[in-house]
Amino acid sequence: MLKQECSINKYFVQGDEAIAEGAIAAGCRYFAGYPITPASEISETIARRFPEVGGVAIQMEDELASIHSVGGASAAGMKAMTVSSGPGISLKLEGLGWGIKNELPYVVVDVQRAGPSNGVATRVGQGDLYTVKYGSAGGNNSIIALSPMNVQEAFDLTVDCFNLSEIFRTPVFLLTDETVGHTRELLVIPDPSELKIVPRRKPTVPPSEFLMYPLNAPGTIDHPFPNIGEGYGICVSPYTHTAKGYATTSEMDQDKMVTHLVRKVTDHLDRLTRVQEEMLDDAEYGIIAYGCEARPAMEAMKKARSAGIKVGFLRPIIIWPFPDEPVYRMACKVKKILVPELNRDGQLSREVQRAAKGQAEVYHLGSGGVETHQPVHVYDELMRIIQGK
Amino acid sequence: MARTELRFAGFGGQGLLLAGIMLGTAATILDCKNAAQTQSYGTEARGGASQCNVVIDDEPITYVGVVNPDIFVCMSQEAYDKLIVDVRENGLVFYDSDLVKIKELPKTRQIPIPATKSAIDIVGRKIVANMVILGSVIESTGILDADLMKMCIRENVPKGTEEINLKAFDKGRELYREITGKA
Repeated sequence: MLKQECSINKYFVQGDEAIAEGAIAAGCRYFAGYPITPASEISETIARRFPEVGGVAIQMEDELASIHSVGGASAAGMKAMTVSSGPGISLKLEGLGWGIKNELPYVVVDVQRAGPSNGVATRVGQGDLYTVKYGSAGGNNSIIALSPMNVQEAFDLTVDCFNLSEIFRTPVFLLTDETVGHTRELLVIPDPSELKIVPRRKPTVPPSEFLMYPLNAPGTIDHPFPNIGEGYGICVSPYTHTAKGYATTSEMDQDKMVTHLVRKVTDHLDRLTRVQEEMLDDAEYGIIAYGCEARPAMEAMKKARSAGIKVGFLRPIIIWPFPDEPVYRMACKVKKILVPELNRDGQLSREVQRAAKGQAEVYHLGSGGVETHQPVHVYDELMRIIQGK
Repeated sequence: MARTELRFAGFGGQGLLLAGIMLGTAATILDCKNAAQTQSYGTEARGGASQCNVVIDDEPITYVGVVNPDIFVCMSQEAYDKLIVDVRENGLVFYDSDLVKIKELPKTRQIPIPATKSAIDIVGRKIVANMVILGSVIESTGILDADLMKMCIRENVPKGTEEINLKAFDKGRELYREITGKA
């Protein structure tokens, strides 16, 4: 980070650096990672800054070790984070299931690059939308993922990821991309007194009365989490557990556990729906995009508006759980929706199609990545679908 | 000011990325403008093609990319041959005249700046060629006040290198005036 003495709390930095600062502001004091472009700048910033704030940062031997140690640190009471990109995220998914099952609050950052496999390491892609949602083995995934579109949001949403991970007691993804991660823009770091930080909730009952997992009231959030070593005898294993945390093979216990994991998210959509909506009131056509693609999409919307075409825009900020309700509302208003995204398999557009329930025609504008779409690409495609060509 | 798009291109190691970051930093932190800086680079640490794009605007910046730069700063032949076509009509090109051979382009003003050679001549270090060419850009376009730019350079270059960087920056301003007869 370039040091700015002349202007307090203002920095011209990369999204990756903003993510590291957001984590520090949120209280993250344990970090484990393995280098990978385009996420390495997060690790580098953390490595430089953690000694100043009393954090522990470790470059582990690989991705598996890093996510598992983050899970361990979380169970021991630390706010913890790991970061990677596509090829590394696919490895971390093994540890992620463990985190989800044991309701461990921590944050995973995925700075997407052009894939599949190693792909184009230094360039942008948006191929991990489904990876973060469905990648962890065994299903029953209650994934929460937030996606920033600029540097300030990279900071703000990282703070939110930590807070949501504590409230929902689950790993939370920051799903960003190389363009957001590497773009430098102005970051204003708020005074700590202006930030809402959710601390780890501690039990108020003695160990004999405490249930580690609220399986008798599926969907419970804000449930306390005692640290390992505090005398609560908590059990954190990869096996299906009872409310006390003991391993079980019973069909009923299994169903109770996964019902809780899923309902933890689906029962609280009011707290997990966040979108940006622009000019939807009179819109006849819509664009939906997330992350780096949101910005050329909005530019295209402006251009269409100045040509007198009534176009509105929607951006999922919390992208998992998917904002079905706002997308459906948009679909009821407009005739056609264009979804620009940096993959050719139509990940976001498939979700939009599902949520639109046939109320509007949905069109995928894909690319293999490397570059974001230019505003003119989005505009031209919009004109093409409006004219029905 | 209206949206202005700049592209710096050359080889990794020439400091073009740093030049772009300085520009963005000065614009946002010291001049209260909006700026966004993006880059593209290969997997090599040094020597590969390197490109740094900066957008500066009084208005908030929606799209951060640079498609057709208003100002193109070019420090390698490869970059020139590949990227000159993108320059906006009536755009400005600053090129290192010892590294780049230009084509005739009637609608584009192309300004030769012997940045690398001057850097070696005045401070004995070609590493500050980026500041020479940045000085020329600032002198020519006035997109930022030269004193603000110098304040930013002083704050942000590695300790101990402030003077050579500032000297190189001023040399670039002077070169522009000499070359264009505005001395």
